[in-house]
Amino acid sequence: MKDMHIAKNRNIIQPDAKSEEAWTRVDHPGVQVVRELPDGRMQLNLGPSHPATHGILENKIIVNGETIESAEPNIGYVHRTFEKLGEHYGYNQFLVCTDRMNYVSSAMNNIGWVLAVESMLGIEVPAKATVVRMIIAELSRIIDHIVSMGILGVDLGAFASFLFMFHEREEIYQVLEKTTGARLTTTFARVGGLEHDVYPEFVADVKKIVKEMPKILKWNDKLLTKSRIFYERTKNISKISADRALEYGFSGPNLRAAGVPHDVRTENPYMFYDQVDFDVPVGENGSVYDRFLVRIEEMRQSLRIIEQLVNHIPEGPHHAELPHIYLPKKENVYKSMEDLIYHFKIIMHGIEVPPGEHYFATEVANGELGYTIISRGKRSPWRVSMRRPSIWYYQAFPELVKGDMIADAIATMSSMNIIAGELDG
Amino acid sequence: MAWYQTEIFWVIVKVAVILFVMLTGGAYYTLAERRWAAFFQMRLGPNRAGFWGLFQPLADGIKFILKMETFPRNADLFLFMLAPAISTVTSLMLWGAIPFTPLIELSEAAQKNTGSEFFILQVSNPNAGILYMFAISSLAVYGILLAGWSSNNKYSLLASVRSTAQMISYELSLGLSIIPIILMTGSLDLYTIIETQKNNWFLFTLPGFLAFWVFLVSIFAESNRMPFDLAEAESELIVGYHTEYGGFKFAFFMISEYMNLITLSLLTTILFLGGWTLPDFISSAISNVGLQHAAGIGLFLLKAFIFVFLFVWVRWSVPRFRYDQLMDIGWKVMLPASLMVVFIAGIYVYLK
Repeated sequence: MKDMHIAKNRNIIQPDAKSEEAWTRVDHPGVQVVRELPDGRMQLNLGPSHPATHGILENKIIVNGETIESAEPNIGYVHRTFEKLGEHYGYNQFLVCTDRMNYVSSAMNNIGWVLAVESMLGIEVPAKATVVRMIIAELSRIIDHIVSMGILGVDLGAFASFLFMFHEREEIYQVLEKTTGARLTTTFARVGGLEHDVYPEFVADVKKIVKEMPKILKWNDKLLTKSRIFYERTKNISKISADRALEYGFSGPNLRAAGVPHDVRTENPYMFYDQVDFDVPVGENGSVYDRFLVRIEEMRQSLRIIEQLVNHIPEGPHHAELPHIYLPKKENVYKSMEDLIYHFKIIMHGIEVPPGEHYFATEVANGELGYTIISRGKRSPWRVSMRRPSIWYYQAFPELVKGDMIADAIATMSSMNIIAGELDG
Repeated sequence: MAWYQTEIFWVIVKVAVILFVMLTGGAYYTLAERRWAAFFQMRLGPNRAGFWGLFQPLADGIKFILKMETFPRNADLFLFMLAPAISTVTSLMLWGAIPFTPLIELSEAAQKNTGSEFFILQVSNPNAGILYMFAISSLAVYGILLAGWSSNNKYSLLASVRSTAQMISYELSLGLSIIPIILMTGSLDLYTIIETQKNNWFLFTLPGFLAFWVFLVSIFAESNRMPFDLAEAESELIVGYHTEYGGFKFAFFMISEYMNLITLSLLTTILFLGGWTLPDFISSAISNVGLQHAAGIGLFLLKAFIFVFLFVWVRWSVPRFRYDQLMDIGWKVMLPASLMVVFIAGIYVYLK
């Protein structure tokens, strides 16, 4: 609240008469020019539209020279009332909203949502659906980390690594496009299974990615991880202790970088994460460099998970045989009475979820994404609430950047992987 | 014509030739940078305009001219317009002292026409040429400083503050790093410096070798290039001092940056890599004097080209320093290092 006080004390100076005269054409009456604060400090609006605020994030920072004295993040620029929409959409319809939260790895958000709904319904999906979901989720995690680390490099001025990584990201997007029909907003998962089966060459394409990815990671190591300048720029920047990170509600890679080995996949396993073999990388001091390293290692671990799964995609249907939940095939709707009725029921009345309150969390790329669903047995939830990881990181931003320089603030912002769509919900 | 008329005529011709060549060079350097950067990053780069995108600079120029002129509200208009002019003029002035060719003896007929015995592609030959170069390149900071100040933009202002501090810090080590050369040559004249290196480039002498690295780092800082491009850090300060500039005013900043890079490449070659001199064993192998000169000039441009490429290479390979790290390196590493180099050079020259 002290920061708010500083921000209010702006010294507002009227433009001098001469320049006002010169600019009457474009100047609007009453426009005031904020030059600096009384004691020589300056308020700088880092965002909402700044090259380094990926998404629409606003930060009002007070700088003394280049040193940040206080920061005041504002949120809500891309608020699309998803929680309110959730009260009106059916359970499958809400998937499109989850797509648009963390749009960098939207498939994982879908999967988290359908898992939450499925656990409320108490249904099992076939092994094939689960395995494909896991592969898609891990591919999305890799994409998300590529974007996050690439952007960190770009913000520090290293452009080459970003584009090398994006080359590989494109390969993954090709697979996602072939599988789901979309690149960004996949909407692939459905309550009770998947939208449709994977295409025949899916396994070969995924294997190719698993084979080629380590090479790109090696290049990335050469360009960034082992670069002295990069190390000096990121080590010990925006450090956060494990306790403080937990107090702020950190999760995912940012919490692990601070030294807490918390991963929903291992602590509260969902899907088949208890049956695959992977490590949870942990950092030391939660600095930008640690977050970077944790993300790189997580990509390797994701590749490991995919490698274990991709050879063992079981045969069978891609959805549960539960006609009152999973929409029947369209061609059968015209031929079979039962399918027509189920189709009508699902379209008109939706999936009826038993009443109750339920929280289900999954480990998405930038943290723990949890869905709270309160159902009263109708076609849409009575109340939906999302635990969106970004918002917890962003509130720590003022503390993390205090005393650092402007360049550090930008590195901090990109290393925390705050996605504006998810932040504002 | 009186002798001074001939003199002035030839100076104007030389200026025209140098301006044409170097401005074209600067424009094509922008294309080269974009193409090379694309190759470093597995992209294609601009390749639409003409064969290999060779008309791209032309297209860019037309675009810049046709763009709407915008001025930020409450900007200091006079300084706002002056700043790009200062940047460009200073980088143009730098070429005045560079000897692009050795003294070429003219044939008798040509001597009669031109009224002089020798020809040299150098506009003027101040006998403290190297000081002239450094004096003018120091002025270039005014372009950045005034651009940042007059834009009425906080990011531009921060950029100009950064740039000024950077220039002051690195000008010291830059100035000190050429002292070994002056000590070894005994002259401030660029022509003499080149001639002295005929058989032994300064890069291959002990103080010259040490000074070279100090000089190289300092010119990267001086030209605001990648590890030191804090003045236009695009992810931090939008694009720094020229955030508010568009159209041809921006093109002025752009081209002056690239012209500066070419000048610095040429200067590095002159100071450390022997300029257009050919070692005796090569020049004795070439009997024709004209061929000798051609080979020398060709080699000069080739050596400069290495640095031209190096600037791009480094820019797209390394991240940017932070402001305090930049200052630390400038004052705690580069300055002591350059003083050490001067000290070593003193002992070296004394013992010789």
